[in-house]
Amino acid sequence: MERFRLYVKRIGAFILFILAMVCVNEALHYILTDDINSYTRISMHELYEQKQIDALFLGSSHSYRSIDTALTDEIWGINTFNAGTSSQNPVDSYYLLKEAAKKRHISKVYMEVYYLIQGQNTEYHSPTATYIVSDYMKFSPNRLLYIWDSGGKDYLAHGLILGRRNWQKLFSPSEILDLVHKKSTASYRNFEYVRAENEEYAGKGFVRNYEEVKPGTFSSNRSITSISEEAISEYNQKYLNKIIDFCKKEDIELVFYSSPISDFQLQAIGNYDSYISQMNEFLEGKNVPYYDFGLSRSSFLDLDDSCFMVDGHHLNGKGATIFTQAFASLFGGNEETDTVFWDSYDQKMAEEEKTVFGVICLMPKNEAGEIEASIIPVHNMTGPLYFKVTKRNENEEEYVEYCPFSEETTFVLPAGESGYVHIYVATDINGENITNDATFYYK
Amino acid sequence: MCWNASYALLLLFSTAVTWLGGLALWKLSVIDLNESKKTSLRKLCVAVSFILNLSILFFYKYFYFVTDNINFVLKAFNLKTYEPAFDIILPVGISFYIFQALSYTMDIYRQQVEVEKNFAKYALFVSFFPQLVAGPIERSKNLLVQIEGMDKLKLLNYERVRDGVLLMTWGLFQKIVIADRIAIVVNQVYDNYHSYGCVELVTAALLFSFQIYCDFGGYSNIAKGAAQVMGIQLMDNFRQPYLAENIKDFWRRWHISLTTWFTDYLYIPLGGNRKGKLKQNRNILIVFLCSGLWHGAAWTYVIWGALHGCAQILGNILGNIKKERNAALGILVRIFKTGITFGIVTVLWVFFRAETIGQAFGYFAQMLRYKRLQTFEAMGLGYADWIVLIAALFILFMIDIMHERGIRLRRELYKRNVFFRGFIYLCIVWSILLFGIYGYQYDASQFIYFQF
Repeated sequence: MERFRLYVKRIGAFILFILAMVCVNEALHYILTDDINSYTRISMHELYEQKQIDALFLGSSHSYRSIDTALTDEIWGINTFNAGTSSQNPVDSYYLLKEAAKKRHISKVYMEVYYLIQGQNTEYHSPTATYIVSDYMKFSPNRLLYIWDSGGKDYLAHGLILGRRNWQKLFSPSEILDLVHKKSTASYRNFEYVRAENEEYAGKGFVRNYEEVKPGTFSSNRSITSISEEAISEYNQKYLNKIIDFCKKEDIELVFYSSPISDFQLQAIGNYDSYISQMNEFLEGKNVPYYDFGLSRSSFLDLDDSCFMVDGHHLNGKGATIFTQAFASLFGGNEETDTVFWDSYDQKMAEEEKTVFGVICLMPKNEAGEIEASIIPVHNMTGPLYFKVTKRNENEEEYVEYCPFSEETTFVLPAGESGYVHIYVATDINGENITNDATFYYK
Repeated sequence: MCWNASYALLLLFSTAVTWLGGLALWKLSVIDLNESKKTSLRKLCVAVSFILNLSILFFYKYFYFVTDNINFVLKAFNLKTYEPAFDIILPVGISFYIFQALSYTMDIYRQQVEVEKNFAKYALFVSFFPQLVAGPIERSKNLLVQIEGMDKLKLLNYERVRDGVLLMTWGLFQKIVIADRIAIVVNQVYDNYHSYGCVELVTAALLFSFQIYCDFGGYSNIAKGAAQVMGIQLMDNFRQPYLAENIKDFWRRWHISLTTWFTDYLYIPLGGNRKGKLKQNRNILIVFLCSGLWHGAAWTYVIWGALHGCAQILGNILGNIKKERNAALGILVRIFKTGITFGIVTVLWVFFRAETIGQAFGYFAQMLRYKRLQTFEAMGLGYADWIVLIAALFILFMIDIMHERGIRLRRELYKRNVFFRGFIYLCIVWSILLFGIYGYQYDASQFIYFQF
């Protein structure tokens, strides 16, 4: 009997120790993790609150910024939920889908497949993409497997010992006090929607953005990478297949789609059709349709105006409204796909309005330290284009003309200087029809 | 560090050779043969065992070192050099298990232990996994005897398991909170020593002393704790080494299993201190040169060993400072002697850590050049990391002081009530989980002594 009591005492002490470990873990997470403005904290909470999800949206920021679930609910008359999260890879989507389907039936899944995400291999997978989801998942084997599959043992420590990512804050008591103060407010405890400077969480996973790209100012100081021969990495193919298998097993209708991206970006890629064909090849025989809204005819979806974009590839709130309506109309059975999409991106460029979408300016340095800049206009025009360069040094206020309008696409900036160049693109030598202008910093 | 399953055959070979050697030595001791022939044959057995084992060690550890040096001389005379047409990967822990196996041969020869007729038990002695790759280098009279009695061990003994786990946890703290954190600073400064000034270089040198102590001491504690969980008591490998009063004392406290191995199987057979001061000093120098070479096939290790030998000889010549009767003054003298010893050990660690002799001297020379002190963040650690490091070193220091004063902390802890104990366990575990250098964005350093 004495022996038995001793065993019970020891087992009890062990259980108590484990409980204390869990409590400390939670406490550290509470005082160290700044998730005051986290969208996923709220969206995961809302996801668990859903009793039934008729249509679930998965994908990266291109999903949660593009599909307004309030509109899909209204148009389709069903319950939809957007489970898109930042940099969500297929591995993240797969475990999120499993989590969402745990206690509720899902009828349809729309999976956003942004080309840059699909090309990523394991080494590019960001741990933050996992943690922003796993931190708010209920403790279960699914959560453990998710962290393990995302990054193996390297992710486990930070994924389970939540305070570890911000332990340095322990030596900054004022920061902790401030955080605890913010977390003790009713708005935080009640998962009230958060609003950042230019965007807000609008409910059921949708994030509405209010920024706009100024007309004619799409630009980049880096060349835009073309589509490789392995547009969908082996790692992502594995989880896309798992998603397909899971949906088949659970009798969920699955649709792959790509959100609209600016023509500036798609045209600059140079071979975007390669991504579409590789995706179609991957899905061949799998009975999963794929729709790329980058191929939309302007008669169906006209998002050419930069006022619908936050940047080259994210829609803002206005763009999301237009896109969601078109999306709901298409999948509501009101449109024929033949009249909605071009067969290829090349065909779209050939058939649609001719314009200059933006300008890329590359600024490599030569051995003498001078900047040998080259202008690459992104367009589908056939005629010549003319460029003017103005510049100002960092300590000056006024731009001065550096190169007058000409067809010349290169210019040299002196060594040791830093400042800004402003490039104008026009369709005539006198610069009367300026189509685009953009500013670039040089150093 | 590379891992190759086929290298397990080396371990098997060494085990088989020493086991068969042991059996032969035993057989020779019981068969009817004249004494002088018996002795010759027994010596032959020992020689064969040593030659075969040391040949493996030489080939895998010292082949490149020897060929590089021969090539250096050949080049100096414009002669054709030799380039080996094969790659050799140093098998993990080879120096440890070969020395452990050889100790068995010697102990059997000296008839200090009973022969082990069961090959499986002997193989377990040589390859006992907690200490296989980085020691302690166990002796048959300790480990083999315990393996013999394992049948009688209770599988789960709460006190034993608790004590073992606690020791492993302390070892983990030493390794991943202290040693691996210091490694960031030390690697940064040693790799770019030209960019740093005296303060940073001295700091890195001082920190390396603690890195290697916590790295190797941490491993030893983990090994000892793991063995204890299974009911095996391994020998102590460290006993507060930086509280040593002189170099001789330091080596009684540092890597004890290696020091005693060299003492028993090299220093004493060479004559030890029995043949006059001069020969004693020669023997010390030989032992330390061998110890240096054992650590690595590079001149930096040889110089490190030789300098330790010289420091010990110098210490023997100068003799001990007479013990101070006044208590207060006695403490001061002790602190002074300990400080000097620590200083010497730290300076010599520079040779151990440097990749070449040139780098070691360059490091010292850079210390003398004026260079404005950079921020401590420039040494690779942020503000919070420095606080954790200093606090952890303070804890380490206090624990060593208490051990030195005979206070057994774990025993003291077990006397306290369950809540206090639970709280302490929680603090230790959380300090490792929270402040340890592991997981994403950290480069988990392997144990330094694995390379030997």
